[in-house]
Amino acid sequence: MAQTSPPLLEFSKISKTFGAVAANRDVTFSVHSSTIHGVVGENGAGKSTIMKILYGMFEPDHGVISLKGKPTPIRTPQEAISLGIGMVHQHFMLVPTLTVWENIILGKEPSLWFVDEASVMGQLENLKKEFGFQVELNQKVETLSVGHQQQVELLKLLFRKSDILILDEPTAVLSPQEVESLFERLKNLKKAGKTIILITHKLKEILNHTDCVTIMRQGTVVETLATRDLSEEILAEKMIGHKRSPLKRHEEAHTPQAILQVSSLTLKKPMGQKLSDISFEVNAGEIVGIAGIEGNGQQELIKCLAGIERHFDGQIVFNNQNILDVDSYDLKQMGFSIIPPDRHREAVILPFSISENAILGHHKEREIRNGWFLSGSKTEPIVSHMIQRFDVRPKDPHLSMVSLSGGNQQKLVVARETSRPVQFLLAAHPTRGIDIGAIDFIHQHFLELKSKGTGILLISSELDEILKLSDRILVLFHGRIVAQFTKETANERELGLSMTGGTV
Amino acid sequence: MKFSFSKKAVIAPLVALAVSASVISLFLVCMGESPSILVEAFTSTFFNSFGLGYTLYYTTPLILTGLSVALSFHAGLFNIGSEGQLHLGAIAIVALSCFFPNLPSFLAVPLGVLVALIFGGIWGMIAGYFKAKRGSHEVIVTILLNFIGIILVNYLILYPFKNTEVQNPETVEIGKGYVLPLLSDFTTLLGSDFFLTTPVNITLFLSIIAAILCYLFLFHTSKGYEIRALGQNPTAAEFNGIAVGANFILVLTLSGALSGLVGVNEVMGYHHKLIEGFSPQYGFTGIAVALIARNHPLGIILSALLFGAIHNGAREIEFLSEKMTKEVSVIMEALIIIIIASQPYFVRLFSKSKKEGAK
Repeated sequence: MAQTSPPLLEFSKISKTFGAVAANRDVTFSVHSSTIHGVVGENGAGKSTIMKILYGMFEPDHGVISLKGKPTPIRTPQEAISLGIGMVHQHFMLVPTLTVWENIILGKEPSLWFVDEASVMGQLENLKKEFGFQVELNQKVETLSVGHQQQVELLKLLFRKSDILILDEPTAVLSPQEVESLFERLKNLKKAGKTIILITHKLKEILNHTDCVTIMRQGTVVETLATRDLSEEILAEKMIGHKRSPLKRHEEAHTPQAILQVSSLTLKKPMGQKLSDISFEVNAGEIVGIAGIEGNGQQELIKCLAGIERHFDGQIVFNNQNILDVDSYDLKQMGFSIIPPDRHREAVILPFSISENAILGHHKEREIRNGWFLSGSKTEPIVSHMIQRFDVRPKDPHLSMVSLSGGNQQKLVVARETSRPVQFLLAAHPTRGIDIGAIDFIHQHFLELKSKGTGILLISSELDEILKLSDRILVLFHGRIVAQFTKETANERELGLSMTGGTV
Repeated sequence: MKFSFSKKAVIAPLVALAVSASVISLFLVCMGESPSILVEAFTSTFFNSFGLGYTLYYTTPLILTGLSVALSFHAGLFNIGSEGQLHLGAIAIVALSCFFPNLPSFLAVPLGVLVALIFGGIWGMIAGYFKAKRGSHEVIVTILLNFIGIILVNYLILYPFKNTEVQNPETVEIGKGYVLPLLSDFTTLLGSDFFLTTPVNITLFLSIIAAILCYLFLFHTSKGYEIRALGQNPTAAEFNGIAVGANFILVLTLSGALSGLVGVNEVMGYHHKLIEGFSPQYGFTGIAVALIARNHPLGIILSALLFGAIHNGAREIEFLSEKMTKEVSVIMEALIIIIIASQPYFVRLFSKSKKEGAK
């Protein structure tokens, strides 16, 4: 880094509060020209807020942003764009029914009346060639893969001549191969003099691809460091504020006794991705991981297992019983637990209290009732035991579920689903969007369950999570199981390849 | 969950009432009349035996229709079919009495209440069935069932059950055993003339009991818990073993049954026959009653009292004023609904100006 020239971008003492919550407190760091600068932190660390301030979406309460040494107020995204700042949001801002080039010029049409298509296309073709983009300009955006849609977003910024590119969690939806080519492209952009700010919670991406990294925690900057001085452990430690304890592995108590058998499961009327001929088993005391990029049939498989989608051929057998023959409430009482993929939509009822959420799915049980009535005094000890055991904070069971952070909500869901005897647990994206502390806690808990003989089916788009926990790994692609690995044979490259339909 | 009354929940309707009263006074002044009419009307709806009797008589059906709307609202359903359901409940009682006119009271009263429950319930259940099995939207189905129900009942009033001895569009009188005591019957026994000549009858107590039962059901039983869970987040409810379709059918059936009880008040309590157009839109006013009580069953008793009083007060205004008619109640109710519905906006405005004042 050239320390002599003034930094391209400087945040000094930026604070922003929402109501009583301080999202940013005295955030100060600088970004140098032609670098890839990472911003890491857990959910709620304030990294999105500071970027939205830079992009003119929020106004800071205090503090100044300086561009090339000059204090520059940025009040709206339009101002940000005209200053050469561009942002790729986590959820893409594209019009699906328009073509790629139409999307790119949207908001910056070269003329008011007629668009000179030929000259626009010429400019775009040049940009594509220069930075190695592969999208077809005349294709409609709705037909593109997620990776290609992201390329469109990047092209859009380049077309607007942005020099500072902000990328918010760009790899969350990509396959490992797509991630590789994204970073390849970002390196080209850096060589061409662009500055890239990368917001992520994935430590590996920071370590492998950035020059500099700013670590944030609870709204403040912990430190800004050169990446080459860092290791994953140090980074994680600075991010969460204390040392991570390694996972405790238990003795293998593997009995090959099938708890769940799925045989030739095929969806009759697909709503989204079709499922065809899915067969697998989950044994007692085993964790089976299902890897795959989202949208390859995970959602449909989860719905079939949860008994919500019932129009399929083939069988799902739990403990020698076809699950379609059993009422889904009763199935739960028999030890068939589910952690649904989308916490807010499927797992909890946000307006309900913590205690009401803790009995969901077990609300008819005799032990919490007085005749027809739900008994508060009988529920209380059960719920406070869950809260204690899983360290859910705050600890008041009468608070509304909304007052819990994502990690604490998820801990309560895991507590609810596993604090009774569990024979089979379907854990779908169990750690999505939660902090490292909660992730470690939940992973440790899964290993404990496994040692007690629970069979776990882990569906996740986080490859690290799958590799860390699973005994066997199945790969789901276009609704089929295309590959199987054991703990010993699995590696990230081959898994990634089969996730995108390539053969190993 | 303990659903406690917040200060806001009480203040908002009172503010709404004050604003709408001022608007009406303005109308009165413009018409060249004294706004003191409003004060007089208000006093007479609560502070004399005759006025209070009528207010409570109008309150009774509004409690029931309010509960009917609120119950389905807790399951995330919008039951607009209360009007049709209460027509069915009312005609069922007349029909029962036509078949068994001479039943003794101890049989006739419970059976009358039962058929009102059942026929109102069936009318609700139809909507629930289509919602659960075919995914038809309950708003559309209940609106259509209103047309069918009301026209069907009017036909039954005018033809099969018509009292041929009078010209009015009304049915024959129900049997003596079906008649419920008026509250004035009790006061007369005590030697007082309170409530005398007013139609308020013991259905009032029935509706209050219904409100208490609804409260216990929704907030203290596991079935009520299922229904509220379903209303707040149907997907999460389904993932946790709560049967969506069956609960939809159950809730709309219960809602219909509550509306059906209105027939008890009208037929067994007061008119002792069914008159075409007997309901001044109790079913639709029930939506407003539920809205103001924020669907809390016990709050509905109070908001039904408010609307009952407006309804009665409007008749009084018509009597006292030369130009104003009783339809003024519609304006007043509409104003209250608009103010309550836009309450979040006013709250935001208020808190903003308070904050700026602090700066």
